[in-house]
Amino acid sequence: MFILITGGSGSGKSEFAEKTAAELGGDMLYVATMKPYDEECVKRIERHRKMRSGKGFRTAECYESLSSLEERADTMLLECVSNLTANLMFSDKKETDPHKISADVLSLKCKSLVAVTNEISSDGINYDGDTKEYIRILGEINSLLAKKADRVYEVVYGIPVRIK
Amino acid sequence: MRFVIGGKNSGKRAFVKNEYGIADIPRADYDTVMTERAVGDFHSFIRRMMEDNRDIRAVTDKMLAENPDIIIISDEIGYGVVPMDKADREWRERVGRECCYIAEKAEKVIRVICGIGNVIT
Repeated sequence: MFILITGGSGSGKSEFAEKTAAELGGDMLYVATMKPYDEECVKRIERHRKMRSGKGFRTAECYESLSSLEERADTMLLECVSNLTANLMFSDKKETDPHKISADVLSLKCKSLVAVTNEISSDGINYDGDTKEYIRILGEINSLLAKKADRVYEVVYGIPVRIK
Repeated sequence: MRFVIGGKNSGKRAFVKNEYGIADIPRADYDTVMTERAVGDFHSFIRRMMEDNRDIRAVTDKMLAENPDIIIISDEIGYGVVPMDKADREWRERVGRECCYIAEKAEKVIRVICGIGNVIT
Protein backbone atom coordinates (compact mmCIF):
# COMPACT_ATOMS: atom_id res chain seq x y z
CA MET A 1 0.00 0.00 0.00
CA PHE A 2 1.38 3.38 -0.99
CA ILE A 3 -0.41 6.55 0.07
CA LEU A 4 0.75 9.98 -1.07
CA ILE A 5 -0.27 13.02 0.93
CA THR A 6 0.15 16.52 -0.42
CA GLY A 7 -0.99 20.01 0.48
CA GLY A 8 0.21 23.52 1.13
CA SER A 9 2.41 24.71 3.93
CA GLY A 10 0.76 24.58 7.34
CA SER A 11 -2.20 22.64 5.99
CA GLY A 12 -2.15 19.82 8.55
CA LYS A 13 -0.55 17.23 6.25
CA SER A 14 1.64 15.75 8.97
CA GLU A 15 -1.13 15.15 11.43
CA PHE A 16 -3.24 13.40 8.80
CA ALA A 17 -0.21 11.41 7.62
CA GLU A 18 0.47 10.20 11.16
CA LYS A 19 -3.14 9.16 11.55
CA THR A 20 -3.07 7.34 8.21
CA ALA A 21 0.16 5.52 9.07
CA ALA A 22 -1.22 4.52 12.48
CA GLU A 23 -4.28 3.03 10.77
CA LEU A 24 -2.01 0.91 8.58
CA GLY A 25 -0.30 -0.06 11.81
CA GLY A 26 2.21 -2.74 12.64
CA ASP A 27 5.78 -1.74 13.38
CA MET A 28 6.02 1.92 12.35
CA LEU A 29 9.07 3.91 11.34
CA TYR A 30 9.11 7.66 10.78
CA VAL A 31 11.70 8.62 8.18
CA ALA A 32 12.79 12.19 8.80
CA THR A 33 14.53 14.14 6.06
CA MET A 34 14.91 17.62 7.53
CA LYS A 35 18.47 18.63 8.34
CA PRO A 36 18.67 20.64 11.58
CA TYR A 37 20.79 23.33 9.95
CA ASP A 38 19.38 26.36 11.78
CA GLU A 39 17.23 27.27 14.74
CA GLU A 40 14.03 27.45 12.70
CA CYS A 41 14.55 23.88 11.44
CA VAL A 42 15.34 22.65 14.93
CA LYS A 43 12.08 24.17 16.19
CA ARG A 44 10.13 22.62 13.35
CA ILE A 45 11.67 19.22 13.98
CA GLU A 46 10.89 19.58 17.69
CA ARG A 47 7.25 20.45 16.96
CA HIS A 48 6.88 17.34 14.79
CA ARG A 49 8.61 15.18 17.38
CA LYS A 50 6.21 16.34 20.05
CA MET A 51 3.25 15.79 17.76
CA ARG A 52 4.08 12.16 17.11
CA SER A 53 5.41 11.27 20.56
CA GLY A 54 3.47 8.46 22.18
CA LYS A 55 2.00 7.35 18.84
CA GLY A 56 4.34 4.38 18.48
CA PHE A 57 6.77 5.55 15.80
CA ARG A 58 10.45 4.77 15.77
CA THR A 59 12.46 7.47 14.03
CA ALA A 60 15.21 7.20 11.42
CA GLU A 61 16.96 10.23 10.03
CA CYS A 62 17.89 10.00 6.40
CA TYR A 63 18.72 13.14 4.50
CA GLU A 64 19.72 11.87 1.11
CA SER A 65 19.73 8.31 -0.13
CA LEU A 66 16.67 6.46 1.17
CA SER A 67 17.73 3.27 -0.61
CA SER A 68 20.75 3.10 1.70
CA LEU A 69 18.49 2.99 4.76
CA GLU A 70 18.82 -0.56 6.11
CA GLU A 71 15.88 -0.37 8.50
CA ARG A 72 12.71 -2.28 7.81
CA ALA A 73 9.18 -1.72 9.11
CA ASP A 74 5.60 -2.72 8.37
CA THR A 75 4.63 0.90 7.86
CA MET A 76 6.86 3.84 7.08
CA LEU A 77 5.98 7.50 7.15
CA LEU A 78 8.29 9.58 4.99
CA GLU A 79 8.36 13.28 5.76
CA CYS A 80 8.87 14.77 3.33
CA VAL A 81 9.54 14.35 -0.38
CA SER A 82 10.09 18.10 -0.88
CA ASN A 83 12.85 18.19 1.72
CA LEU A 84 14.45 15.05 0.37
CA THR A 85 14.43 16.55 -3.13
CA ALA A 86 16.06 19.78 -1.95
CA ASN A 87 18.67 17.78 -0.01
CA LEU A 88 19.50 15.69 -3.06
CA MET A 89 19.56 18.62 -5.50
CA PHE A 90 21.64 20.97 -3.41
CA SER A 91 24.12 18.52 -1.88
CA ASP A 92 27.28 17.18 -3.51
CA LYS A 93 25.09 14.57 -5.17
CA LYS A 94 23.39 17.25 -7.31
CA GLU A 95 20.68 14.72 -8.15
CA THR A 96 18.09 16.28 -10.46
CA ASP A 97 16.47 13.26 -12.09
CA PRO A 98 12.83 13.01 -10.96
CA HIS A 99 12.73 9.32 -11.91
CA LYS A 100 15.71 8.51 -9.71
CA ILE A 101 14.36 10.51 -6.79
CA SER A 102 10.89 8.96 -6.96
CA ALA A 103 12.47 5.50 -7.27
CA ASP A 104 14.50 6.32 -4.17
CA VAL A 105 11.28 7.10 -2.27
CA LEU A 106 9.75 3.80 -3.35
CA SER A 107 12.88 1.86 -2.39
CA LEU A 108 12.04 2.09 1.34
CA LYS A 109 11.87 -1.38 2.83
CA CYS A 110 8.29 -1.55 4.11
CA LYS A 111 4.91 -3.12 3.39
CA SER A 112 3.04 0.16 3.54
CA LEU A 113 4.38 3.60 2.79
CA VAL A 114 2.82 6.96 3.59
CA ALA A 115 4.78 9.74 1.89
CA VAL A 116 4.21 13.43 2.55
CA THR A 117 4.99 15.95 -0.17
CA ASN A 118 4.22 19.61 -0.76
CA GLU A 119 2.46 21.93 -3.18
CA ILE A 120 4.89 24.75 -3.88
CA SER A 121 4.08 25.96 -7.36
CA SER A 122 1.13 28.31 -6.90
CA ASP A 123 2.42 31.55 -5.40
CA GLY A 124 2.40 33.36 -8.74
CA ILE A 125 6.05 34.35 -8.46
CA ASN A 126 8.39 33.70 -11.37
CA TYR A 127 11.57 32.27 -9.96
CA ASP A 128 14.94 31.89 -11.64
CA GLY A 129 17.69 29.35 -11.61
CA ASP A 130 17.75 26.74 -8.88
CA THR A 131 14.33 27.58 -7.46
CA LYS A 132 12.66 27.31 -10.86
CA GLU A 133 14.42 24.01 -11.39
CA TYR A 134 13.39 22.77 -7.93
CA ILE A 135 9.72 23.58 -8.58
CA ARG A 136 9.83 21.75 -11.90
CA ILE A 137 11.58 18.68 -10.51
CA LEU A 138 9.33 18.39 -7.45
CA GLY A 139 6.25 18.77 -9.67
CA GLU A 140 7.44 15.89 -11.80
CA ILE A 141 8.31 13.73 -8.78
CA ASN A 142 4.86 14.35 -7.31
CA SER A 143 3.23 13.29 -10.58
CA LEU A 144 5.37 10.16 -10.81
CA LEU A 145 4.61 9.20 -7.22
CA ALA A 146 0.89 9.89 -7.62
CA LYS A 147 0.83 7.54 -10.60
CA LYS A 148 2.23 4.74 -8.43
CA ALA A 149 0.09 5.56 -5.41
CA ASP A 150 -2.93 3.54 -4.34
CA ARG A 151 -4.40 6.67 -2.81
CA VAL A 152 -3.58 10.37 -3.02
CA TYR A 153 -4.91 12.98 -0.62
CA GLU A 154 -4.64 16.74 -0.65
CA VAL A 155 -4.96 18.05 2.89
CA VAL A 156 -6.70 21.42 3.03
CA TYR A 157 -6.52 23.04 6.48
CA GLY A 158 -6.82 19.71 8.19
CA ILE A 159 -9.44 18.32 5.80
CA PRO A 160 -8.26 15.37 3.70
CA VAL A 161 -9.59 15.66 0.15
CA ARG A 162 -9.09 12.40 -1.70
CA ILE A 163 -7.92 13.08 -5.25
CA LYS A 164 -7.05 9.51 -6.23
CA MET B 1 -19.64 29.62 11.22
CA ARG B 2 -18.71 29.03 7.62
CA PHE B 3 -15.19 29.16 6.29
CA VAL B 4 -14.62 30.08 2.65
CA ILE B 5 -11.13 29.56 1.26
CA GLY B 6 -9.35 29.59 -2.07
CA GLY B 7 -6.57 31.26 -4.01
CA LYS B 8 -6.33 35.00 -4.60
CA ASN B 9 -9.09 36.26 -6.92
CA SER B 10 -10.68 32.87 -7.17
CA GLY B 11 -14.16 34.35 -6.73
CA LYS B 12 -14.64 33.83 -3.01
CA ARG B 13 -16.37 37.17 -2.27
CA ALA B 14 -18.68 36.93 -5.28
CA PHE B 15 -19.55 33.40 -4.23
CA VAL B 16 -20.43 34.50 -0.71
CA LYS B 17 -22.43 37.50 -1.96
CA ASN B 18 -24.51 35.28 -4.25
CA GLU B 19 -24.82 32.29 -2.02
CA TYR B 20 -25.78 34.18 1.12
CA GLY B 21 -27.27 37.38 -0.32
CA ILE B 22 -24.78 39.69 1.33
CA ALA B 23 -24.22 43.04 -0.39
CA ASP B 24 -21.12 44.27 1.35
CA ILE B 25 -18.26 42.27 2.74
CA PRO B 26 -15.80 44.33 4.77
CA ARG B 27 -12.23 43.31 5.46
CA ALA B 28 -11.61 41.35 8.62
CA ASP B 29 -10.50 43.62 11.44
CA TYR B 30 -10.72 43.71 15.22
CA ASP B 31 -14.22 45.23 15.12
CA THR B 32 -15.73 43.78 11.92
CA VAL B 33 -15.08 40.16 12.90
CA MET B 34 -17.17 40.62 16.05
CA THR B 35 -20.27 41.99 14.32
CA GLU B 36 -20.42 41.50 10.53
CA ARG B 37 -22.17 38.62 8.78
CA ALA B 38 -19.16 38.05 6.54
CA VAL B 39 -15.57 39.29 6.48
CA GLY B 40 -12.85 39.02 3.84
CA ASP B 41 -9.04 38.91 3.83
CA PHE B 42 -8.73 36.97 7.05
CA HIS B 43 -5.15 36.06 6.08
CA SER B 44 -4.22 39.78 6.04
CA PHE B 45 -5.89 40.27 9.41
CA ILE B 46 -3.67 37.51 10.82
CA ARG B 47 -0.63 39.43 9.54
CA ARG B 48 -1.87 42.57 11.24
CA MET B 49 -2.45 40.76 14.54
CA MET B 50 1.09 39.38 14.34
CA GLU B 51 2.47 42.87 13.78
CA ASP B 52 0.36 44.14 16.70
CA ASN B 53 1.65 41.28 18.88
CA ARG B 54 -1.88 40.16 19.62
CA ASP B 55 -2.91 36.76 20.88
CA ILE B 56 -4.42 35.54 17.61
CA ARG B 57 -6.11 32.48 19.06
CA ALA B 58 -7.80 34.61 21.71
CA VAL B 59 -9.19 36.95 19.03
CA THR B 60 -10.40 33.96 16.98
CA ASP B 61 -12.11 32.44 20.01
CA LYS B 62 -13.75 35.74 20.93
CA MET B 63 -14.98 36.13 17.34
CA LEU B 64 -16.48 32.63 17.36
CA ALA B 65 -18.15 33.26 20.72
CA GLU B 66 -19.58 36.69 19.88
CA ASN B 67 -20.35 36.13 16.21
CA PRO B 68 -20.98 32.39 15.87
CA ASP B 69 -22.71 32.62 12.47
CA ILE B 70 -19.96 34.59 10.76
CA ILE B 71 -18.73 33.71 7.27
CA ILE B 72 -14.94 33.99 7.21
CA ILE B 73 -13.15 34.39 3.89
CA SER B 74 -9.42 33.73 3.64
CA ASP B 75 -6.85 33.23 0.91
CA GLU B 76 -4.91 30.00 0.95
CA ILE B 77 -1.34 31.22 1.00
CA GLY B 78 0.63 28.03 1.62
CA TYR B 79 1.00 26.82 -1.96
CA GLY B 80 4.38 28.34 -2.76
CA VAL B 81 8.09 28.15 -2.24
CA VAL B 82 9.33 28.79 1.30
CA PRO B 83 9.59 32.62 1.50
CA MET B 84 13.04 34.19 1.85
CA ASP B 85 11.82 36.62 4.50
CA LYS B 86 11.48 35.31 8.06
CA ALA B 87 8.34 37.36 8.82
CA ASP B 88 6.72 36.00 5.64
CA ARG B 89 7.57 32.45 6.68
CA GLU B 90 6.10 32.98 10.12
CA TRP B 91 2.96 34.55 8.64
CA ARG B 92 2.47 31.65 6.24
CA GLU B 93 2.86 29.16 9.07
CA ARG B 94 0.52 31.10 11.37
CA VAL B 95 -2.16 31.43 8.69
CA GLY B 96 -1.96 27.66 8.15
CA ARG B 97 -2.34 26.84 11.83
CA GLU B 98 -5.14 29.33 12.45
CA CYS B 99 -7.02 28.21 9.34
CA CYS B 100 -6.74 24.54 10.45
CA TYR B 101 -8.29 25.61 13.77
CA ILE B 102 -11.08 27.59 12.11
CA ALA B 103 -11.77 24.76 9.64
CA GLU B 104 -12.11 22.33 12.54
CA LYS B 105 -14.68 24.58 14.22
CA ALA B 106 -16.56 25.41 11.02
CA GLU B 107 -19.98 24.04 10.25
CA LYS B 108 -18.97 24.09 6.58
CA VAL B 109 -15.66 24.63 4.80
CA ILE B 110 -16.16 25.80 1.23
CA ARG B 111 -13.28 25.91 -1.19
CA VAL B 112 -13.74 28.26 -4.14
CA ILE B 113 -12.05 27.57 -7.45
CA CYS B 114 -13.03 29.52 -10.61
CA GLY B 115 -15.88 31.07 -8.64
CA ILE B 116 -17.33 27.65 -7.87
CA GLY B 117 -17.69 26.67 -4.24
CA ASN B 118 -17.06 23.09 -3.23
CA VAL B 119 -18.04 22.04 0.24
CA ILE B 120 -15.11 19.98 1.46
CA THR B 121 -16.49 19.27 4.92
